[in-house]
Amino acid sequence: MKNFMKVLAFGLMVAFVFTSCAKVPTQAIDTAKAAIDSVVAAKGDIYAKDELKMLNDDMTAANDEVTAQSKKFFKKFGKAKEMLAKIVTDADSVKALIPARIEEAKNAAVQAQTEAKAAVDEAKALLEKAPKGKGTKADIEAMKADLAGIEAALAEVQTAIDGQDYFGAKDKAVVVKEKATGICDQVKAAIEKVKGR
Amino acid sequence: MRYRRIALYFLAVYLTGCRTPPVPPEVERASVQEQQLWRAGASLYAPREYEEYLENIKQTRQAFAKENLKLGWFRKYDLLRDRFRTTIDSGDAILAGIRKEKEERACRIQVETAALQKRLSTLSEISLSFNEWGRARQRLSQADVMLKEAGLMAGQAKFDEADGKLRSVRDVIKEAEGVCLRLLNRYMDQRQIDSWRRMAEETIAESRAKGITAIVVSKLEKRMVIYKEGLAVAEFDVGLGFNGLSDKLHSGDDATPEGRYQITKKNSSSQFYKALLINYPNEEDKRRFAAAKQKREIPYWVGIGGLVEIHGGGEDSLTRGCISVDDKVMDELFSMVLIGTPVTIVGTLDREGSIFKAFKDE
Repeated sequence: MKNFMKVLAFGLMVAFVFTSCAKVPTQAIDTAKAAIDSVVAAKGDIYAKDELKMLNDDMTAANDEVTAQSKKFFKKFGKAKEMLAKIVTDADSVKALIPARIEEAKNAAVQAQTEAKAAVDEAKALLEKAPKGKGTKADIEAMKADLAGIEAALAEVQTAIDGQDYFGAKDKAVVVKEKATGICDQVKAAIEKVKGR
Repeated sequence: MRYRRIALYFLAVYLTGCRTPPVPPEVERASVQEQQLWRAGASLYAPREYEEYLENIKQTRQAFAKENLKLGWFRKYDLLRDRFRTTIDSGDAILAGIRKEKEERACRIQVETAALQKRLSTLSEISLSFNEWGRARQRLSQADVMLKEAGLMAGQAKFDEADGKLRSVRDVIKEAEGVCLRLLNRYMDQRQIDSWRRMAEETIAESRAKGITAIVVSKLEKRMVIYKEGLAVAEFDVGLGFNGLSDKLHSGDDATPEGRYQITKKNSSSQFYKALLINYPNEEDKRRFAAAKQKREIPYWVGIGGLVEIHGGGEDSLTRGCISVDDKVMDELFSMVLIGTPVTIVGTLDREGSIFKAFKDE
């Protein structure tokens, strides 16, 4: 009887160690989730899409591991904890990448804006000295109006940069440059035509 | 001796092929495909199917992990391979669906872009034809920039953004259209056109009845027709004022007047080569001007204007309200007309002009 009680007590102790002591790593899960949220807050969904996807996948895998272990009698959350800790470390690395990428996108947008502005300025200067002779006056005035519209679009590039929409700003600047260059070419052609007469 | 036998047995088993089977290539393919689906935006284009796919792949991977817990000799991947293949097939179907939907959306955007581009071209042509260099032209230029941006967005498969941009383009075009319509309304008003036609017919009838030369200028068509004894004998291109398609109301409006006038002076040494002065303002012009002033539609200090001529210098459409022609035409014209020759200026004689037809059709 004494021996039976000993065995039972030992058995209960072992069961307690393997079941109750292995608690779901709630805090680690929350920390990992917060780490991913902080990547999103740092605009990871725009500038680190692939990395964010991997973090989310890892989080799903960690959650699956936690769920799988929770269903077992002998729970072992060591692997899940490792996975969650890795997510936090990876999230920090991804977050560290983002500022450089934002800076890169911003620089590209500003560069495109500078080029677009230069093209608009050139078109303006050319229009000022364009030959307003017979057959060109109306075209020149029309191009001036077109350029005014393009200038308005150029102002929107700055608005997009201010709103940190660097990709949108770059796209707009590229189109503005293309249009302004088109006007430059037309005016140059008109100047050449007049010279040729 | 006994141990040697056992070792030899295991060696024989190993050499005859009872080894850990290789991981099926489908496992790697599934990983690559999952990434492809995510990149293709499966959660947006096929949310239900994608969720199902993810659940399947998860379960298959769990089964694969379970199988891997076995000793290498006892692992069997055949069934798992089939499960992976089935999942991959469903993934391929989702990818194909996404591709198809993207193609359709890209196609729709392309069609809409083409339609808006056509509209832009028509409006651009119209604005050029009546020298609209203000808000309409600027907005059209902005719309063109936005349209190209929408094209770039569609190229990057940002269809929602491209759709939004196209909506903005439509709004901007509508605004420009409004400006054009306000200027063109008179040219699409049947009663106004009938009145212009009457004026032209009366002038031709007068030319026929009196056996004289008469001039009819149609502003929209930018054409001048010379009649002799009621018959058209010559036609020339003309230029108008900066604001030529509007009816002149006061000085400085750069509009070309409409009405029945006469040549009052032949100037053979004008700054624009040669000039034929007409009697603007006539009685009707004076009456309209006085009424507009009374209604305070024009500032009190503004005068009615004058010195409206048909002159040389080229038909480049940029006078302050006069009608301009090439110098050669001016020579011809100068010899054909006399003081008192009727000059009738009308908006248009053709209601179904090509530009307006295009405007109305769209």
